[in-house]
Amino acid sequence: MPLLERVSRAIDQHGLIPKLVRQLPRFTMLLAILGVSWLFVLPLHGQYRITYISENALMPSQAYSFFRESEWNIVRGYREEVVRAFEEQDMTGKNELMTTWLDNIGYKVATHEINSNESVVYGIFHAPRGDDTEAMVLVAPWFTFDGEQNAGGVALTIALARYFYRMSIWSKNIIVVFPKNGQLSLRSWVEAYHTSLDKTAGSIESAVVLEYPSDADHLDYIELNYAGVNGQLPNLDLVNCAVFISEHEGFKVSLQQTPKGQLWARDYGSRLTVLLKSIFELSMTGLLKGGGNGCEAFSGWNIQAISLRAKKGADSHDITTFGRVVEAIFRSVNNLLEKFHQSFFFYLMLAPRNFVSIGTYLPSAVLISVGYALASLSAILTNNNRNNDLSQTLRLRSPNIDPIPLCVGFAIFFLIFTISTIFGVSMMYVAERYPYDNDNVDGYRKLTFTVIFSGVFFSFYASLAPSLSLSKETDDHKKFKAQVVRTLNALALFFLTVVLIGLLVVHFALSFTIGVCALPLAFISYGPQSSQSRAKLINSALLLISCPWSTILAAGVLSSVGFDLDMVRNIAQNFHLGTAREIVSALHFPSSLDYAEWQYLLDGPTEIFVGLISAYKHFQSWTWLAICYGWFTTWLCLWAISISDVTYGEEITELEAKPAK
Amino acid sequence: MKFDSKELSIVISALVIQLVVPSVFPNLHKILDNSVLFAAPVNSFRSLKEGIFLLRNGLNPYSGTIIHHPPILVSLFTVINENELVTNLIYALADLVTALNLIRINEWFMKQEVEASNEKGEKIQTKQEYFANWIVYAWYFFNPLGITSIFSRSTTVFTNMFIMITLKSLCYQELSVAVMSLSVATYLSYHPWYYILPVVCYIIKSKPEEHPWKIVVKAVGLFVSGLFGLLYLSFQLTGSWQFLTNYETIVMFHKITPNLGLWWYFFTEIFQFFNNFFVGVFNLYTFIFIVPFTLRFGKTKRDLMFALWVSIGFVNFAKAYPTISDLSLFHCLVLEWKPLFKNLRINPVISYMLTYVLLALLPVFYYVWMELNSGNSNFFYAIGLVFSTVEAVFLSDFIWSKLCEEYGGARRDLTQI
Repeated sequence: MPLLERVSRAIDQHGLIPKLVRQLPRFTMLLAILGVSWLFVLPLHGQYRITYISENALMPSQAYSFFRESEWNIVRGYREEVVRAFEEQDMTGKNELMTTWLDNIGYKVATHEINSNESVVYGIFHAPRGDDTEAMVLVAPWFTFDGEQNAGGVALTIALARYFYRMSIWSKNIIVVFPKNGQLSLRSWVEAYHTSLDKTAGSIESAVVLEYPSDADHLDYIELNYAGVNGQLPNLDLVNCAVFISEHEGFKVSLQQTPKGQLWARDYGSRLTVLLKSIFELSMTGLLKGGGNGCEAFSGWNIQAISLRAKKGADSHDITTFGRVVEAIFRSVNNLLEKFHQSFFFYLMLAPRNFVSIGTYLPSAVLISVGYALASLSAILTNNNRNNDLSQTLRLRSPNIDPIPLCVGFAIFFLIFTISTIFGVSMMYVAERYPYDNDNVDGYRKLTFTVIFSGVFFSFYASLAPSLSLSKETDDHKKFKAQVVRTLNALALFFLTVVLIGLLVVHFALSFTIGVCALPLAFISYGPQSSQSRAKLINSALLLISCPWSTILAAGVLSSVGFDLDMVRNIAQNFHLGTAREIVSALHFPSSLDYAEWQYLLDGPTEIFVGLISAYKHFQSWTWLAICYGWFTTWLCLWAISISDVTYGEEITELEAKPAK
Repeated sequence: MKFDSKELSIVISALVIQLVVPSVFPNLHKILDNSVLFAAPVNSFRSLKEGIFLLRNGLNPYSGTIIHHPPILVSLFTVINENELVTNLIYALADLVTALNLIRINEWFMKQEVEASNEKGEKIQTKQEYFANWIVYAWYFFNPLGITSIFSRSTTVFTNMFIMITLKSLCYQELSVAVMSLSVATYLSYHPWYYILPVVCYIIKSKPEEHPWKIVVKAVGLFVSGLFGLLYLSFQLTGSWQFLTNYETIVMFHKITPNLGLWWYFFTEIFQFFNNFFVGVFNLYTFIFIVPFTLRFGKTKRDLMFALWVSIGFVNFAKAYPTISDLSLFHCLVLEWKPLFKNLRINPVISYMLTYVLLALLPVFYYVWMELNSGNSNFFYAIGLVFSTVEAVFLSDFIWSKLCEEYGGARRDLTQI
């Protein structure tokens, strides 16, 4: 304590605080840079950790797997039938076929009717040794994430179901589910399972989604997906189990769609790529392509879900090896006596066997959020008013805000908050009312680009805005206006701080992404509209960069040209003009000015926008709410600040007033 | 009571908000009441309704362990018969009474200031050191802490009202009213009896002509008889003394539920056989600081008001079942200490920024623990601990500032932020 007292006195004597106040925007910048570079430090050797199985009961791959040559013909037989079903039958026919099979094996079969023309078949195997309260789920969607026919996955799953039924070791029930796709159909089933279905088998402990869109006998490597909606991840133990077992069976595991060539890489670049891609994927869960990888469907019900996607190749692993991976995962989960709780729920993967836990990565988003808090303080300490001479130290002891402008500032903030709420809710209503299908796709495209271009227009309006000031403003009026604007500025930034900090733990990726993308908002200044066109232009640029809709545009275009972070890594790691050219040519840029060529480019942003506004309805994803209430509200407030005409500087009048006393 | 136009518009808009919002969102109080930040077993409206149900069906609400509300309150709400509008009206009215008393206190402080400067022979700087009434109204009515505690229908609202009446009556020499309303507050939620010490000291200060012991006997006698009157009335209402288990629950911390405070985590971790000892220690800890506060800040009436305010803050920090509505009482009185703001080491703006950030984080961590199951109790407790620390630092900063003021009004330049 005496030491603290000395430090505070030293700060006092040198007048450090008033000097530092003017530097607050630089601190914000510094913190943001630190926050981002924190992530770049994590993949360095010694900063991340090597994964380990925390729950001893799991014992992955300790039991001998019997899903071997004896099952070969069974898998092949089922596959032949499945392939034929794909050719000849519609969904009803396929479901009937599956019902017959499951019934013949001995499963309790039931159907969940999603609507009049879609239903999901699932079968329950009540565990011979269990108390019938817990279940493990195996899902094989008929169509994969990319819309391909999941022949291999479905055949393997039914063969596994048959194989599991003959074993007496199960202490948890087994449920096999065959939805049409791993997104909305599966979500609907999961929701119905917990709310309305009659035939259930206890609480679901784990879920594995299988995809192998091929009728080939062999496969190459496994792609593991684990991201759930709203930042929820399966317990790290389950992910570890899957990785351990797959590698034990000889598969390479790919996280975040790492291409095959990178699976052997163990360098900084590959770890960083996986880290950044996982942050991007986590912040976009539930939005892309109708809701992603299958794990999203299980989010929100305390279910640990992973999805395994086998990749075709001429390697020596045959399809029963893939089956053994699933078998071993099920046997591990079967060993559990308690729920998954030992290992981390909040982590980021860098490589299949490397991770960073929450304590290590959280500071990066904390630093950014604190940066916003400092920006808010800086706003209230008049740093953003261009009328003030910012090169000098703050002369006021504490720059007061009179109560009335304070209340007006609050009122304007709530007004803007209401506006963005109405906007957000009406967009959600649109998504609820009109499904995104061929009839409405054009309407949605128009809607998306109206929103995006209005964002662009508003941003540029900030530098073109005419001076609205009425002919004669009294000094009181000017002072009042300056204080209102100052309050609004500080309040908007503080609000964003609260939103970001609130999201921090639950949804790190979203908090980080919004924090980085909205950062320019912290540097928007206000002043007289009649002059300083340079400052106004800067404001416009800042608004344009930080607008949520510009981010959607950028992300959408990048996704539709097929941009992948691995390309950047590739260029950076082995820079060679030939490689660079090759990589750039791999992107699908439109080759001519023909509208049809450009159309798919426009579809990227549209898909993201539609994903955003419908994700709450489909997956209870909060991303739209966070963007609309947090980011967009703040953006609108700062836009309002940048078009306001403030001709009053706080300190100038204070200094002038002094001699009069 | 005279209102100027600003005050009137604030009061009317506050009343409109308090009456309209719960009618438009009838589920709002259920949502808030389900949150541990607003509802402890001893003040939740949900358990009050349970009591009403039991009472109406001829059962003794206190034979089980669900109801921890005093019988008179339960009976009052039984009379209302769960009429939504009347319930909202009662809460709005309680809030209004609290606000009116707060304004009277504010006026008293202004008057004190004028008198003090007159005595010193300085020229009168009226109302410079205090906030105008309408600001105090706005601060009280539009403070999220206050609004949400009204919306959550926490019964602490009534306790707050009676404590506010006590403070106001002390200011205006209505001493028996002060003691009586303190006994009502005690009857409602046990803890307010702690404030009897500063209250009695205040009465002694304001009646210098009377012998101190006489005052002590009179005041404590009045307090105890008021309390026993209420308890006896409760006995008549319920037909047994079982309702006293309410107070036992609060003192012995029988219901270990997560809340804003510091007790619950400790008592979930501790071995059973240490339980009684630590219940004693914690209760003692909650009470014991009232004594030094009263002794140290016992020179003038204004000082004693400060001692009372600090005691309220400290009890919020240290008691078994603190909720947002308790904080609301403490924080609405902050404005009365404007003269102390200049010596604070941490500017109130920063303290409040921290407070609100943490209040936003608390439900998030609770959600991560209870709904997502990805966190555990440590998450929620850790953030609650940080919150309590911020509150404690806030409080001790004011004590520091008060000491600075006594030392000679030394102004430090640290307070520029």
